Amino acid sequence: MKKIQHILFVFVIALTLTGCWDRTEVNDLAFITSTGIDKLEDNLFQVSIQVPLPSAMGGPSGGGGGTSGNKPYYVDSGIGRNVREANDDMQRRMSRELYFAHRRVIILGEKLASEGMERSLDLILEHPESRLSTFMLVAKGNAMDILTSSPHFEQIPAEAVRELTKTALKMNTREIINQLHLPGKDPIIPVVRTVTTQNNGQDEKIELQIDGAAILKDDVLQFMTNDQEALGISWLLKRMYEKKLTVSVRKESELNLIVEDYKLKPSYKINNKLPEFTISLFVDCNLLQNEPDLNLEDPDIYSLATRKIEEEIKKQVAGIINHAKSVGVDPYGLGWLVYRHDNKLWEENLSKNWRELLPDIKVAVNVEAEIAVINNKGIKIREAT
Amino acid sequence: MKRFIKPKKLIQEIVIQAPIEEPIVPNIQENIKRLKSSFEKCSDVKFREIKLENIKAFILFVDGLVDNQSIQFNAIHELLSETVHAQLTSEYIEQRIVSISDVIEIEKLDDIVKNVLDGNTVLIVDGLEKALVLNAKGGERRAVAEPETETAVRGPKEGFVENIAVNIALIRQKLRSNHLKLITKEIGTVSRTIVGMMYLEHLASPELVKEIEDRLERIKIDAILESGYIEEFIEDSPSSLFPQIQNTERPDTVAGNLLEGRVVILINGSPFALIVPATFWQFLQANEDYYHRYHISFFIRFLRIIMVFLALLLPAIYIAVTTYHQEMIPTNLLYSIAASRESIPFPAFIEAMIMEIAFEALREAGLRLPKIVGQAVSILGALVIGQAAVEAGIVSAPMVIVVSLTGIASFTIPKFNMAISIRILRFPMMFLAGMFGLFGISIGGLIIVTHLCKLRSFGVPYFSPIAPLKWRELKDIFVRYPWWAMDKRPTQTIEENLNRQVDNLKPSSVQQK
Repeated sequence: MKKIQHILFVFVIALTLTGCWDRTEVNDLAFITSTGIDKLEDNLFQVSIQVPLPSAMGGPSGGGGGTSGNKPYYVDSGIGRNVREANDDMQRRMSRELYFAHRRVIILGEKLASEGMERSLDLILEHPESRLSTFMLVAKGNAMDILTSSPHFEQIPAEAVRELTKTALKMNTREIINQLHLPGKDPIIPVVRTVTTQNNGQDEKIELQIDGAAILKDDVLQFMTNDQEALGISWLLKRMYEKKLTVSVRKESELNLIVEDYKLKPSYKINNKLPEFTISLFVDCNLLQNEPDLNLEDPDIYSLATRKIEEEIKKQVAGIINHAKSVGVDPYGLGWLVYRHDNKLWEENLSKNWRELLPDIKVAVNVEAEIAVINNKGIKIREAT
Repeated sequence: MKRFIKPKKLIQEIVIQAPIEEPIVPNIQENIKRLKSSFEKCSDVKFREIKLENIKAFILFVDGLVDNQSIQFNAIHELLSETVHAQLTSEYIEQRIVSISDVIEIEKLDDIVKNVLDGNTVLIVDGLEKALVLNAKGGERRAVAEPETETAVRGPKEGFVENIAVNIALIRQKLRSNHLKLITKEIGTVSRTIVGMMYLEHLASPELVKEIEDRLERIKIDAILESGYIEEFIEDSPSSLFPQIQNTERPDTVAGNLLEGRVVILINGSPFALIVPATFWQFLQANEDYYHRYHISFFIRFLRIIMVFLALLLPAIYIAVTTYHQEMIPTNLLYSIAASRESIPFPAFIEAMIMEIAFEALREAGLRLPKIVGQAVSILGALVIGQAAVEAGIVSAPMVIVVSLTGIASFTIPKFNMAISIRILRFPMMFLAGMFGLFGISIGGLIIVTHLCKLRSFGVPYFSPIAPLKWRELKDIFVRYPWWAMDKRPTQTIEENLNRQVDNLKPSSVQQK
């Protein structure tokens, strides 16, 4: 009995001596919603962060704290020789601790991306608070401009970027960092840029727009896709489900379709110790609008329509593949395909000079499209009236 | 350190007035003299003197405990109008004169005292060495009414009353079997409370009945005023926070438990019957679970288990997550929490403590006050704590939601004593959460679960049938199977007669044709 009491006594003392030493109240933290990393000059980085201001976000006892007008967030930036130093630079003028666990978007400035970004991403891997599910984007221009934009819909721009990314390419940090070191595969990062609201200057604000993808060579930005190529990238990354497609059939009349389902089957043959690729797409679409009034029940017209669709998709996919190939970049991962299926060939012949070989590699794109559901426009046989 | 150690206690004997072990003597004056001396200054004890022809007789009773009408017409009137024949014996009076159904003879003065105090009427006749006990108990009693603590939407609306005889009759009406046995005892030197044990002979294990009898036998006390006294004397782990004996006001609950082989203890003067042994899950079950269609019970039992977790852990989890693990809160929710916490002067833990204690105080105040004032308290509480505190920026709105959700969750636990245990345990959990975060909550949860697994109620593991696991009995724990699927009784106390019903009772279109 006495022994138990002694032990209890020690426990009670121990409990009072420990304490809430790593306790942090919610209102002692600065929740970073997004980080923008820009490169100013060699070895000098500017890291901007966007922090919501809880006191300006509503809540029953608001008031106080609202420093930057009506905006429920503010942007600040720090300068340092690397990202961590820039963060520390910022921390010195922040009364609340920077908290990265709720960061949703990381935006890389165009200059940083085109001069190599890998070392700036180390912090994401090393910092225990940062999440690998954070979306990563490349900004057209400065990353800070994205953070200071003011989209109409969302309270916080980072939220807008996140929602936009979800509907477009959607690449998170884990995927991008993985791709940085895959043999025969180069990373793709969606691009975000600012635009002004298109309403003749009434209540004009700076909106955000996802604009294609940045194609990287290793960790260096090679080029940014145009609209057609962006669609091609979407096809290749299997992000085209439920996406809409407009195909011109005749002069000034288009078919509007929605992609219901599609399969992407890459394959290759070895010819003279070099692979020849065939990328096959089997697409099922539903007809949304039939502007040219085609009778799709007629087999001839149906095959005409599907041929047009096939041509359109082929143009998109081949466009991006050929463009990337010509500059020695492999965003789809043709090399990675060989690496996995024919590792010996890859290691012996291709791995060393894949980039030099790439422009001459043959890639064929085959598309087979079907219209699964049609509407009744263009059908001449109607119910007898 | 010495202060912590209790001095050893001596076993104390309680002082009992020595009983008058003397026999009744033929001389009535002598008897009356002695009785009057033992009932000195008990003005409610009436000595009614009558004469049978010229033989002196006394009728003794306590005013208010007897049925005056019955005594008047069946005893006094009969005695007075009797013309006595030569030999007057107690048998003669019993068989020919008094028209009361229950009459017994006693021979000791002490028995006279006891019987008078029990509410019986005692007739002493000059020249006889025996006294007659006329059982004509009466007096004012509460009528059988709907139990207030366990109301039901569907199910019997009668509840126990303070009188044990009525309660026993209520149970007997439900289980009209000669297997239903009753053992009565008197406990308490002053109160001499009647304590009855009821069980079904073919179901309850004899060891259990013996054990309960032994434990009841142990109690030497002056008075038992409520079943709570007995509960504290016979439970297995008095230091545990969890109730190990179930109490109920409902005869149907009692009957249901008897049919599962448990033993029921009834206490005269209390409308609460004790049910032993009890397991943890019993406290999460309401009698109505068995009366509604099983789909409803299925859902409601799940709901209750979720609510037990909420009642125990919600404030603790809120504290832990907002002060240690902010990354676990969905981002937008975190922003709203941060927004509402912006102007709060206290840390989350202190805030939660203030609110929880205020809530408990409110609940207690509302409970003890007269009903009319109670309403005022609840209005005051809702207004002051709920609204004013938030508007004044003393407490954040999410915390008010958390606390009220916790309160509601704890009210979904059907048995009050379990609800209060869980409510008390919430506070140490909050401490642990405030000190160690989720780690503390897991440690606290482990301690509670370990304790629950270790507890026993009359030899039955408290957490059974989860630990030790019995698959077949799970059909009446988290869910309730339909009646036609519950063909076996739980095996906690029963060894034989496990079948509750015949097989194949499930209604189907084929059979019903």
